[in-house]
Amino acid sequence: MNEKFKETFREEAEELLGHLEDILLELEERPGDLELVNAAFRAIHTIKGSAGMFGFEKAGRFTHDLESVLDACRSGRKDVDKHLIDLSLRARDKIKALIAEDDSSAQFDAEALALMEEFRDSAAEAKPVEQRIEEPPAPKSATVKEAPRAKTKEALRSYRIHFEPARDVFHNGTRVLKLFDELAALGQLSSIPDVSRVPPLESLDPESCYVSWNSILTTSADIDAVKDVFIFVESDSKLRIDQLDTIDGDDSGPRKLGEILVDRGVVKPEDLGEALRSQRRLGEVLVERKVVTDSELQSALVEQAHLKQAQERQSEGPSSSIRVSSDKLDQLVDLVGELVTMQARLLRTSTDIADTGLSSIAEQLDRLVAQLRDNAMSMRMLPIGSTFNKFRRVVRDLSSELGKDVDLVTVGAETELDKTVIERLNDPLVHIIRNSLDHGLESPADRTAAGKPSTGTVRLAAEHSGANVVISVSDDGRGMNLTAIKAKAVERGILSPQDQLSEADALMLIFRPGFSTAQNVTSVSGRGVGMDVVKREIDSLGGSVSVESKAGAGSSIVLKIPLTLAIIEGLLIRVADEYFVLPLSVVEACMEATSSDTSNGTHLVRYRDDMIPFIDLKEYFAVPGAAPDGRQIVVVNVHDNRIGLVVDAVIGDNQTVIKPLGRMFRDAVGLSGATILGDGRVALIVDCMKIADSIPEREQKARAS
Amino acid sequence: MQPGSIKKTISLAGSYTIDRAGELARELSEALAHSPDLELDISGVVEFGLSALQILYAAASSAASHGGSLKLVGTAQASLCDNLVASGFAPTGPLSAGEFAARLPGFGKVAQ
Repeated sequence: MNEKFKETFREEAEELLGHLEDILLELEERPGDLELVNAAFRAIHTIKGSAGMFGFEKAGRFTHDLESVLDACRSGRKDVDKHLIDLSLRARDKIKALIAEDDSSAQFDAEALALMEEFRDSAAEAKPVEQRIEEPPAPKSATVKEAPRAKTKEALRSYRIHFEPARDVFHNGTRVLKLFDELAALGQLSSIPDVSRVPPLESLDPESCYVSWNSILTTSADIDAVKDVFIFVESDSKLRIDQLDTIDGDDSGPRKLGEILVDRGVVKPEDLGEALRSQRRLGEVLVERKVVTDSELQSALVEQAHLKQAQERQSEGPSSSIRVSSDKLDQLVDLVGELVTMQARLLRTSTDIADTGLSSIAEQLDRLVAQLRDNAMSMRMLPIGSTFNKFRRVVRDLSSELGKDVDLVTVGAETELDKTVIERLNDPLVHIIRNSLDHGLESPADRTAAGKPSTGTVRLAAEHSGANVVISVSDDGRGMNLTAIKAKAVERGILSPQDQLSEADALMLIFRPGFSTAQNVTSVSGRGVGMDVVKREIDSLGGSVSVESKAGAGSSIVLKIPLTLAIIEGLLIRVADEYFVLPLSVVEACMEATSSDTSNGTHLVRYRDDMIPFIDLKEYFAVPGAAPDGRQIVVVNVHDNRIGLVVDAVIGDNQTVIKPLGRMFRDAVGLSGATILGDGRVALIVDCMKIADSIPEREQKARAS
Repeated sequence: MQPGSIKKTISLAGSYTIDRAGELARELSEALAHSPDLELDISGVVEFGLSALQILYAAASSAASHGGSLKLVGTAQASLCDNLVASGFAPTGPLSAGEFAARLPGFGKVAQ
């Protein structure tokens, strides 16, 4: 079997299984909803059918028993209960595993056999149905009967509208042209005005209307909605609305011009027959013989073109989308990145040459490239909602394991983020949610005792905030125990007993490696891995993590993630002959460095009534050459810690296309990538977070005091 | 001035709705009385109502029947074109006035 088809099947099955999971979880809340049972059955039925077709026979066989049970529920012979949902969810996971493994020759493992057994028992429990024919348990290639189609597309209808406004239509203030805008708002409109009755200027009454129209409208609206447009002119104007035959995708093809003309009553069938015999273009012949006027012919041609187009659109579907492999998208983004770089070069060269013609081309191209860049970026954007749905399952499984009642509330599922970012957020979010459920939320008894509703709430929210997306996970649990956190940190040697920490700093301790405060280590969390991994992952995405907690009222963890990883706004700086880029998002200020600042031995510099530590990038990156006079300090703000970076010169802002560093430089500390400048030179992108980490504690504290 | 000797250019500007129909028709009639060759600069026009369009058609037809022509010059602004898309008079703009005139169905023909 062609590997490509298998891959397509896998992708589709993945989607269907995700969908099935949502349905099952919803079904758990509304077990009586027959529509949901039907939807679940359809999903599993499709998976079974296509699994057989694409050679995933084992998955198909496994699915069969689940299908039988769902079928029993569907026909009311069995009730949906929690046990069934549990079983179905486990089976869903198993199907996923079976499809991933794709080895139809292997035996089912014990878990699969047990599940199948349970389903068979469950199906047997169902009330018998009159003359039920048992399907063979191993369909070689299951036929897809009544393949569940995606919801039938809204039926589109086409109307032919002939509108001849009354001569005095202008007198009551009707703006005739606006009527067509209203029609166009209903759907796809083609109009052809007939101006043949407009007299020469000498005999024209400027306040009379002489124009009439033939329009074709393809819309999902009904005829009344179309009539409503003309409600104020109908009485004294001529209006005829005919519904044309419904367009369906598998119709015999576009309508013939002759048919349209006869249908409109413009041409008599016998004239048509005669004209057709002449073997020339029908339109020409008819106009020549004065059977139709030019305008009548034009409007018939427009109708033909319109219907053809509408038919094509109908078969494509109203919002057509195509599946493109993410590799291709990555390539596109990469190429656009190169283009952005070349464009910067062109812009710079055109400024140097100072030719007005070239400059204006360069500027126009600049706008186009910017649009292209935004467009390419937006193609990689996905709503975060797909990930949110996975967490419903996590919460469901965990809450039953922990014996807690938990509601998961999600907000902002439509927020869009780069695909890669979404994928990489998955694990950190799972960690955070697990922690919330395990440590944050109390048991139902404790909650009742504390006067809270026994069901806890975890709120997962996403929203845009400038060039970032802010994702927060909050619970209404007991909040974080600051004393316990500090005690644990001391015990683990992260903190010395004398250290005085602010509340916010103490909370950040949970992100230190090897930190865990859970009283008893559960299988869920509390192994001391988790939060530090979360922080590392978010840092590597260029984002930040913060915690808020209120004793007794709950805590929330807030992630701030940049929208995209591929292109950033940067600040270009120079150290000796080397160029560097600082992410503009962390840059707070630039100032002159006086020699007393940089040579007083304290490595501290005054900034807005505060002393902040600074690092000389020349020393940090060991750039050879003597330091010039008049250097600059760029103040960057990393996680609310300000540090100064001493550079030779600040050049300006720069659209930075991030290129990964080669393998040789993968371990380079303080660099996160490279970029190519307009003149072809390479600039390294500075990882300000890493540099901030390298500042000795002593100076951090000096800042704090 | 001898009829037909000199091409006259009239610049139109603003919104031509029914309120200005009489005025526009008068202006064009007077101009055509002098010469059947007329240029209309429509660069400043924001909107043509149906009444104004009819006057243009009528004027073009008159000019043609007297052996001249009514030519549109300048640029047809986006707002002018967009307003006429749904009724089938124009594609989306902006367009050159020549293109605009060429896309007006049946424009410049002598009325029967």
